[in-house]
Amino acid sequence: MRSGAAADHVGYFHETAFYHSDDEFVSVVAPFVADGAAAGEPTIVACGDRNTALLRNAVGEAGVRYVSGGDQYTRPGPTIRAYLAMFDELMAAGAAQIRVVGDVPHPGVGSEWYGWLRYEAAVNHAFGEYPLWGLCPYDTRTTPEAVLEDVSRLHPRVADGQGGHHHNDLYVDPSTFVLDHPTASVPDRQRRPPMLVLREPTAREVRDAIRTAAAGVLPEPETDGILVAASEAVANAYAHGHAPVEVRLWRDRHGLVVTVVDHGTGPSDPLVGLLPPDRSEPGGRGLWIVNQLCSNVQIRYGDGFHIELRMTSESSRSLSA
Amino acid sequence: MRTTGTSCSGRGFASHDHLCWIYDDQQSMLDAAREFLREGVAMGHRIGYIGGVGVAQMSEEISRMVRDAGRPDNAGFVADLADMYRWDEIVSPPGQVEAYAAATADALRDGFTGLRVAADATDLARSPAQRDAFTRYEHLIDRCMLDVSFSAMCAYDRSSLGADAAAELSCMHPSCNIRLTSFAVFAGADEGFVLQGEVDVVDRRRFLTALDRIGPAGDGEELTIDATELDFIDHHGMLGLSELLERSGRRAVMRTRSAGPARLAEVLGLGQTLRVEVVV
Repeated sequence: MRSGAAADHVGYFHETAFYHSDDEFVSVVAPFVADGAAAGEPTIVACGDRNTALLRNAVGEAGVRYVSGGDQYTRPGPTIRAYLAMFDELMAAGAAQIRVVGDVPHPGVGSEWYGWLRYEAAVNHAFGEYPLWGLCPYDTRTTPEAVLEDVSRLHPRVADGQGGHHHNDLYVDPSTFVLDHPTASVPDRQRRPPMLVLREPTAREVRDAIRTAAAGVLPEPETDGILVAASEAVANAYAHGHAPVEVRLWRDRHGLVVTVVDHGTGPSDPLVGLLPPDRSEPGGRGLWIVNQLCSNVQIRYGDGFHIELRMTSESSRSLSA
Repeated sequence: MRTTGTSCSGRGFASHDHLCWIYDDQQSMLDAAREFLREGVAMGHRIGYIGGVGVAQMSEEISRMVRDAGRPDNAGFVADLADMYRWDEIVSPPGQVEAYAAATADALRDGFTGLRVAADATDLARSPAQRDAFTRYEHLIDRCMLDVSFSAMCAYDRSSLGADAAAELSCMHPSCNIRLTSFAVFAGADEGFVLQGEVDVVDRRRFLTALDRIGPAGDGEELTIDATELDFIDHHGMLGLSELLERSGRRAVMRTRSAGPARLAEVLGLGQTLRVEVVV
């Protein structure tokens, strides 16, 4: 039996809340945490340092699992996979409901948003089967207006500071939202000519080019990661896209960017790649792997299907952690 | 350590080696067989040629090799496949392996250091059913060679079998004159196998077929996949390995130099059956 506002809900109860002060954060989130702990439900706090400290102070330690928000929200793909593993473990231990409150990264705390936008959209499906109550509070003091607008579209529920939990009328179908919400801007490095363009290459030719380009820029484990990811993206382009397939390669001091372009319409669900493979359409496993291994993945529709894989040595350090 | 990779001649092979020779013209194959067998004589092995083509020619040559090396007459033999098998016979893999193991034991008992055979097996691998049985046999005999002093050169006529069939057969050998597949898979230590080259979309179907044919040997709980010479494997390849293990209720440790397979195993959640160790 699930406790609280999600008691009669089946599956994922995905809720956001907007707060303007520390007090307001505590007034929304502390009861969520305290009630979960009191009900004996696995209750996970994955917030930034400041919010974690506020909750420790308000609720204490008993019955609450505090994890570092920075460790939990590394990159969208691995974050989803880590949560799924955690939920499976908790379900196996007999959880009736799992409560999670997490600070999802955004530009206000120094992260790019597009990936996390896709994350917020994808979890509606990826976590859909679990008796999960997930609360994603956003700080209106630091979150950009455009991000708040996106957040309000991607959560079917919204909590207020007075203990109220409401249907969110602004919520739209997550896949449709992402399709209608293209990548904000073309990355700068796309505006200069790539160092290499391969037309109709074999996956092996792409790997050879990446090995050469990665020398001196990426350490070996990250090179191995982008080799796997790029091979999967190229195989996907040939299997599911339309010819001609083109691969473009950029290098800078941070690492490599590989864009694979085919002239098909792309996957019908733009969230494929962030959904666990057994639930996605054919080809989903390859894109899932790509999202797990790369530092950053962007997809673009229009004039064919573009998937851009970025691997940097910096973010790869957290990858192997 | 066995010889692996490609070789452009029949020379330089040791007493556990297993070479595949894909040929389009018969004479080049017979040249390689001659080189292979001549070194066998020098190593004190009993040598034999089984054909296929060129039996009469090789009969004379083997007699000469044996005589020139000062070996007894029983140091060499020649056999004609047509006398040994019906034209469309499907070989029994275990039966064939037993026969060669026994022949190797005979050679040792007769005072030789081992047995070396060059065989043109084209006629035993013509139909899909024959090839299915023969590739299974190729793997079993490959495993047998790890343990006994038996080395072989298996020749196949590509111009007659076709490129696809030749590729199916050659990928099960540790060494080959021409690599027709991006990968090779053959017997390894600890009941395991060795995986070399690259496994991706190009030869995915052939790789999965080869895996099905090798199956895991023995009954040990954990076998070893030596992938230290594997340059690349994609997720289909990793899933294929994992499924092979699951079908037989086995686990494996896969040793690689690259971090790619380890990342794939982690992302795909294969850790229960397929543990990857990166070795330097």
